[in-house]
Amino acid sequence: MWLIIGLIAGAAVLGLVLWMKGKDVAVKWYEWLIGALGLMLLLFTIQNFAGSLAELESTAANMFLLVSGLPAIILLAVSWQLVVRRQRAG
Amino acid sequence: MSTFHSIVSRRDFMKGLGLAGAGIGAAAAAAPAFHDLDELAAQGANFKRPWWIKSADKPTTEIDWSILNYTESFSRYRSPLSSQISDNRAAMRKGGIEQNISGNSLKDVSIASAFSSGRSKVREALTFPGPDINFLSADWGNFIPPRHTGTPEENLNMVRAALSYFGAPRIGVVELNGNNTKLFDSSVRFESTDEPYVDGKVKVVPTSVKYAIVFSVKQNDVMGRHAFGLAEEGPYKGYAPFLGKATVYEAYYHEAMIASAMQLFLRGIRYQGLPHRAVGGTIPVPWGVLAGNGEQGRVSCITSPEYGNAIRVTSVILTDLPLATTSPMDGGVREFCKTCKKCADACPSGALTQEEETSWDVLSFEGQPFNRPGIKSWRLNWQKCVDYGSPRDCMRCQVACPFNHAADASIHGLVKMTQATIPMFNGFLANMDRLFDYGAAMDGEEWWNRDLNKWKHDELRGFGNKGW
Repeated sequence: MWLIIGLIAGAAVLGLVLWMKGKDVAVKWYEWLIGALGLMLLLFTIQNFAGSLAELESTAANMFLLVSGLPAIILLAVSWQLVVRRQRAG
Repeated sequence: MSTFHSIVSRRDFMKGLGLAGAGIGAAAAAAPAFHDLDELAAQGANFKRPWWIKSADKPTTEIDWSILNYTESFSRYRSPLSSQISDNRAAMRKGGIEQNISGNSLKDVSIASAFSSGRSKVREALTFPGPDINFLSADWGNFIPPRHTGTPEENLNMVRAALSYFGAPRIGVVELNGNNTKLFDSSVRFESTDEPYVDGKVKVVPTSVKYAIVFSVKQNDVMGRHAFGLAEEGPYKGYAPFLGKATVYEAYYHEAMIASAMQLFLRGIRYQGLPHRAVGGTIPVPWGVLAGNGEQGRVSCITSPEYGNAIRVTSVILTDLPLATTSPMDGGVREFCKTCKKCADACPSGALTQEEETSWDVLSFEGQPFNRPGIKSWRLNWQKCVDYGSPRDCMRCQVACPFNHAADASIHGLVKMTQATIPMFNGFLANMDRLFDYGAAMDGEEWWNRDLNKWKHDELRGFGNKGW
């Protein structure tokens, strides 16, 4: 399962990088960093959500969506918006 | 036109393909061989613990060997309410069955008790001094093989491999000495003799039998969660369902099976194999602590960072097979117990102390101590525990432990690493365990209707670890 998730994540990142290069979108190092942290947190959330369900801990699974999933989405959104807004301003 | 054409150059495209291919190759190469740090550390070794479980010179429980001595007479707490407790228990069972209460119905009580007499029967196979050393000769005719030889390290590997196959992958070895032999009461005597023998009421063990193999028998902690929720009304008001107790008897049954197999194995390679259930005169928890199977937690039983409180027993087999010994462990468990107190919160009778620090003091009833002196520990108030009806009617302390968790979610590995190395986070981690509601009670009827295609928590003999 994690091989497939890794392939999908890798392909998505590669696709994004190639697309941004094509559109001449410049990304600052800190925007990369925030995005990478968001992605890692998202993967962490997915693993622990699935793992908690496997352990029959449904409350813990839902708590992971809130405690780490939400910050992951926020970080990814922040990274995205930083890039987009700088593009518009630039 | 440019909107219809990709402006990725051929060079960038090929570079991307190469990177993706390298990524796939790396993932494929790494995936089957390395799932986590534990596995990486264990490659090439018979068994290795995670790096954050340290070996210690002494157990994390302080022991005063000048006081701790099982040859001194000692009486367990005997409740003056024992007939009332029995009547209460009978009423609970009757009420649960008649009202078909989930977790306490006839099928629940029956399955929970299913291993109880089997446990006793298999224990009868544990004999002192053990089966004839030539017990395999019926198949081999006149051939009597020489004794197995190996270095102590090789023998430890061999014993570990055998016990893992029998069902106990966590073991330790203690060399008997003048201190730890005090853990045997006067019904056991060590003597310079060739073979073990019985002298009246005393079991005589040769002094050549100098090693104690200690193996942990795990309980099914998921099954244990079916003995956690306290009923708010009805015949079981204030008590947990009985269904989850199935794992207790099952684990004792396993202990007897594993000990019997190990006794025969040791005799087969032509060494002594004396299970403590056959020798008598000692209790398992101290051996587990000395051997490094775990630490003594707040509950006073053995707690390991791998199994938590879900260890039914750390069973002992004495042998003269030369063995490398194992050290006590420091996995941060006892330190975590100081602030966690989840078991004490779960205890319905208040038998577990909420004190943060341990003490040399013992508790007593009518002037008679019911805790052994000689260790600095949290003391279980046996009067409160037994008067409530425990240990038969309750196992909540065992179920509540945060270290019980399975290893599917990666957070547990991170938490265990953190608690073992940075104790200042222990309080926070214990509170998060409560917030995430780990170890919550499970329903009996749902257990009977579990999806057997997906359920991972039954023991399936012959399936090994991978469920194949």
